[in-house]
Amino acid sequence: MGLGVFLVLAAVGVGVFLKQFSLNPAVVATRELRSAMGVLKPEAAPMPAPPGLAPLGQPESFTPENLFHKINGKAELYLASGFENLKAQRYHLPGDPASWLEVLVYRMKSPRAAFAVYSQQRRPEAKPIDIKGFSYIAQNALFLAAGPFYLEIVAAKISPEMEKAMTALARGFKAANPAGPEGIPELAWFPEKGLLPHSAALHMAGAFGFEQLGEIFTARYQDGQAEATVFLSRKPDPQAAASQAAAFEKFLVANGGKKMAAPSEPAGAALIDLLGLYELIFTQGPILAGVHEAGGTEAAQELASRLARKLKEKTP
Amino acid sequence: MSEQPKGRSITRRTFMTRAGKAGLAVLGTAGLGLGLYDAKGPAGPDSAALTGQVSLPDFSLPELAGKMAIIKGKDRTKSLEAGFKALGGIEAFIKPGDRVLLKVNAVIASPPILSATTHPELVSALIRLCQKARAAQVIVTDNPIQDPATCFNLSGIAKACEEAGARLMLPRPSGFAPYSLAAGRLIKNWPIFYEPFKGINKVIGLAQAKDHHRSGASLTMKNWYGLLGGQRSIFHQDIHGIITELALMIKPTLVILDGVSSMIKNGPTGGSLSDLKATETLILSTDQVAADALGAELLEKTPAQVPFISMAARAGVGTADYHSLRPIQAAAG
Repeated sequence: MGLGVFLVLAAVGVGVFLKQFSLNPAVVATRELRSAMGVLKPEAAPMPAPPGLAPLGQPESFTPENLFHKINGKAELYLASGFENLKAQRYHLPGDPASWLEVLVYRMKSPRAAFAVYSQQRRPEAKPIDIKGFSYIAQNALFLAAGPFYLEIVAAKISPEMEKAMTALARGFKAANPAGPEGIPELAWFPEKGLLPHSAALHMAGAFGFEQLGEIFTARYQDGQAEATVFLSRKPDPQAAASQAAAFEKFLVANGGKKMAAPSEPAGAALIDLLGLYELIFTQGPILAGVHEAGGTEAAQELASRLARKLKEKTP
Repeated sequence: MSEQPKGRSITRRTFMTRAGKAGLAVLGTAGLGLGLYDAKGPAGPDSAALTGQVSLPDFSLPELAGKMAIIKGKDRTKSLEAGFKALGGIEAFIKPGDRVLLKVNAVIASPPILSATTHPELVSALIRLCQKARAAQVIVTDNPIQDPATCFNLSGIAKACEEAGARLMLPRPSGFAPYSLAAGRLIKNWPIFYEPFKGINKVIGLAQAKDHHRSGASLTMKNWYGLLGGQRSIFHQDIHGIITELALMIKPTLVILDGVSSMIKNGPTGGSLSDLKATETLILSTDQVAADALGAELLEKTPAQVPFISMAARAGVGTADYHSLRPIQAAAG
């Protein structure tokens, strides 16, 4: 009897102990809100302000846990690409609080990760600027990938003064972080013919909706009226490339794709009809490559052959 | 622990000793409990608001069900006026003495030119129209999570409220209360920003049309997401489900979708004017699903890219076939 009572009490104790870790979400709400309201802890500014700009508010800092608070639903793009932290600071032109801009410095896990978030958001119609590496300016904003950093400078107004300030900030940042992301050899593996300018992008994870497809480079091609995407990815060895090609093929078939007769080239390629668009997958040594969403089988094969020749020429 | 053999009596001394020990154990336990007791509770002194579930009334007007106006033009104020005129005037929606809540999108601290938040000109124009209809009070709100005051200030919405004479209500911890959606799968005992709804009898959603990295689009139904408290980002795992439930949760008087300048890529925050397209369309609708169906077209999205629209239609929120409502189309400046 005594032992039974003791066991019941012990069970109650364990239950209370476990329950304390699952608070009512309403309680979590207030904690979250307080935490968000106090998020502006004193932080170092992401970069020194150039002469002619005054800080507007306090510097902010965000981690993977609270990045959502700053950039809302776009956080997932960064988190999936290897986000480490974000430092942000607003500045304004002295005497003109309405002329403000915000500097956002994303630190990613590697230069490749920085290029991934830079390239996936590249505005094709923007103009390049003469800062070495990957950079461009788009009316009210400037974007730059340098080393493991991805930099965004967004202005609230369009004016020559704001453009001058954005450029000065970017130059200052680049000077302080000279390591550029120039060492991305895959960008030279895409065939030139038909390649749409500035369309090359890196997807660190989940390319084409397939979770396992990581570190995939893509580029858009125009063939007459039709567009298609070419992709490539270097894997550790030929077996890994073949294994991922097979997994991707299986994923496409599982999602309504119909496997077609294998094309004559590239050797070993698989061709899949996915609801009227065509996917072509092949491997060349350790490289997984192919064509995504081509308008026809001929276009898919032509692009794939061009890519295979370029890969042979460019890769060891 | 020793046991007394059955049928054997114990001495008075033994009984008193055991009773004393038991009493000390009880006192010790009670003392420990008293020492660990947190009178404020984990939520702090404002936790009183967290007790008890709240409910939300139906703010829609049955006589105006299925009404929709599509206004083409660059000028938001003129388009808004033309939209109301097409639907019978602001007086059809707002009666003298009404207490009106405008749920805007002030999700981030972004300037108006980037179309990431509700445009202040539209907020200002709607406040003035409500006042013209002799509304007793107009409240403007959102729960941006990140430094609400900065979001409202830099988006220009705070200034619009101040100049037009509406009350801006910022979120505070005591303003949240748990809510459960009947037959809801996700919104169960979840904190919502309830304070702005107190005493309100009309609700108008003012949304900006924009691309969304996770949901495909942020339109009028997604705009209610800002009412959620807690760690709401977890709902991104089932973004279409939560948008559908939010559309079931709020039955608004009207929704207004700003597609004058639509963010067609890099949403929901954008950052560049290159992300915008001058779609020059303002939508006023009493059917949220219909408004979003047209909004998705403005964003050049296929139905497959915005599944929450068909899901909300299936849930009975409205119709994805907005043409069936025979929307009134007009042009403004």
